[in-house]
Amino acid sequence: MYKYWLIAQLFWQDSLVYRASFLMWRLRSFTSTLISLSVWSAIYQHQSQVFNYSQPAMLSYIFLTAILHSLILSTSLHSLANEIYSGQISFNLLKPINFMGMLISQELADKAINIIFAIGEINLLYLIFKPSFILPPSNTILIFIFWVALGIIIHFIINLLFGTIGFWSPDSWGPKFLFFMLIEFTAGKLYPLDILPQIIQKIISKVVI
Amino acid sequence: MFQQPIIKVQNLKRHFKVYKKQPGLMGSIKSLFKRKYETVKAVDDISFEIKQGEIVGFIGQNGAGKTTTLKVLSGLLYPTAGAVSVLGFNPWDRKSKFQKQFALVMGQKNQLWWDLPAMETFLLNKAIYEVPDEQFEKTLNKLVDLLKVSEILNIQVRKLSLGQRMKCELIAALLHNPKVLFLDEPTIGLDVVMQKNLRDFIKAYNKEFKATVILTSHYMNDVKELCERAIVIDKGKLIFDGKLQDIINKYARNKILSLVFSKEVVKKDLKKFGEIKEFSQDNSSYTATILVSRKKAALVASDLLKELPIEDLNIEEPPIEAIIREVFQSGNV
Ligand SMILES: Nc1ncnc2c1ncn2[C@@H]1O[C@H](COP(=O)(O)OP(=O)(O)O)[C@@H](O)[C@H]1O
Ligand SMILES: [Mg+2]
Repeated sequence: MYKYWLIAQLFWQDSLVYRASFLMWRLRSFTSTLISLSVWSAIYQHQSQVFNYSQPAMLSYIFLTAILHSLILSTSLHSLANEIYSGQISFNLLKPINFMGMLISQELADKAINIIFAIGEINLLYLIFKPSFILPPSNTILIFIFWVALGIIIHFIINLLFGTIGFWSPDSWGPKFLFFMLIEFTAGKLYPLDILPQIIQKIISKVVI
Repeated sequence: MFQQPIIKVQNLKRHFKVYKKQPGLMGSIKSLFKRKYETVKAVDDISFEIKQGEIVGFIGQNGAGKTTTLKVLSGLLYPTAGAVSVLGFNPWDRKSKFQKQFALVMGQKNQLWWDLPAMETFLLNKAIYEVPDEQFEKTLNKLVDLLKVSEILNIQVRKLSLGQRMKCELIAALLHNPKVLFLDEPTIGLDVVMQKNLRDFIKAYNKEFKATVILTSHYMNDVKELCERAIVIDKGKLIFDGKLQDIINKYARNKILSLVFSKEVVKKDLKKFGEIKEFSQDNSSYTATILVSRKKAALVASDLLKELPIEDLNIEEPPIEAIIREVFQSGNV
């Protein structure tokens, strides 16, 4: 087990080497949430109810999706395709270590670093917007956790599949980018889906689900 | 003493299906819709055996199939046909017990974490290979000493020179004291001094740990210095397996005589002894090199000493590159 823990540690060290790009990465996720919150705050200036959502409910929604986003959609597998294509993956296959175990420990390390910084950023945003939180009902919390865990697993598997593009091409960003746009939209990262017109909701539920 | 071979390769084949692009832009566009595939026989029916403690040189031109063979032996590629056994294991099973006993070093790739000091990779490998603390300490100290790299272990790998990096690569690969070592062009791109350092090191490692080594290289000096036995492959086929000296004897038809004269000689007088490769007569130095058939070399040398004012005479083997070129040109052995 120790080897997997060590891999996670090296992964963290490696992520923190380039301070500038690390900061930019965090700034991007911070700004994206900041913009969402600003837009919705502006909309609620002159009305208390938009699409059946009160201002606290909407802001709570944005805060919660920001946390879920960094928990579920973060991944260390972006480099997998390139590693396969370049053959760099060989070194891991040569060693007496479980390759999947290695990928999983890196994935968890990546999620850990993401969630730690995301929580820090969210605290900062909380100080700026000072929303009153409306939390989801607590009787569904177990189902919620289960659902998040499944989301993490499914996302991991989908990224493994994108990684196999590396058998043909070094670059998996094209299809991945499209996929992420679709995910952010259909998973309601930007706003709750039930504010969309009925027809679009129908399409999404037919096509995606 | 009878010794079991530690590496056995029988009728190994490894073929790749690659698509063939027609030339030009039109070819590229056509290939978007329809592709022609062809089979590359990277390794085509090769057999050999290697005993413990041997250092064997794999010689062959670019694309001959050297790397592919090493990858099959390491369990990275599945053979198209044939049987392979290393240390009694089938490499493709990728058993931990097998993986703990060998290492593959590729001169063109690195396993070290690029943005971290080499020491971090060493510690990770220690954990992965489950090397006990004491043994790790001992091996690391020894390797660091032999390669003289104690200063650079805590510097980011990307800031090291190619030679320093290669030394660290070797250490990372050897920390678990592998019994079998595959070196794929370990000296590529290094300067002559560094090449020599690494060669000395490989020799020392082989002695110290009785390790079996397969080495591929472009540089004939590597092979000449390290390997008694050479396996020559060309276009996936094995065309020679034996003592390096035997190839030299068989294919080096000539020897080189280099001469220093005490006073001026006429070129014409030299001609009857052999083919003149070099002839310079200026100021106070009069030198020449001539090619003579190897059987007659000694005879010619004594004739020369008798007939011409010779100050110094040397009989040399032709460079091994030239010999190997001749092996390839002749097609088979
Ligand atoms: N993964 C691969 N896919 C397709 N062709 C390959 C692959 N690996 C090697 N080859 C081909 O196999 C032949 C032998 O390659 P290689 O073993 O790397 O040669 P060497 O190491 O002797 O220079 C070359 O023609 C090369 O293009
Ligand atoms: Mg090669």
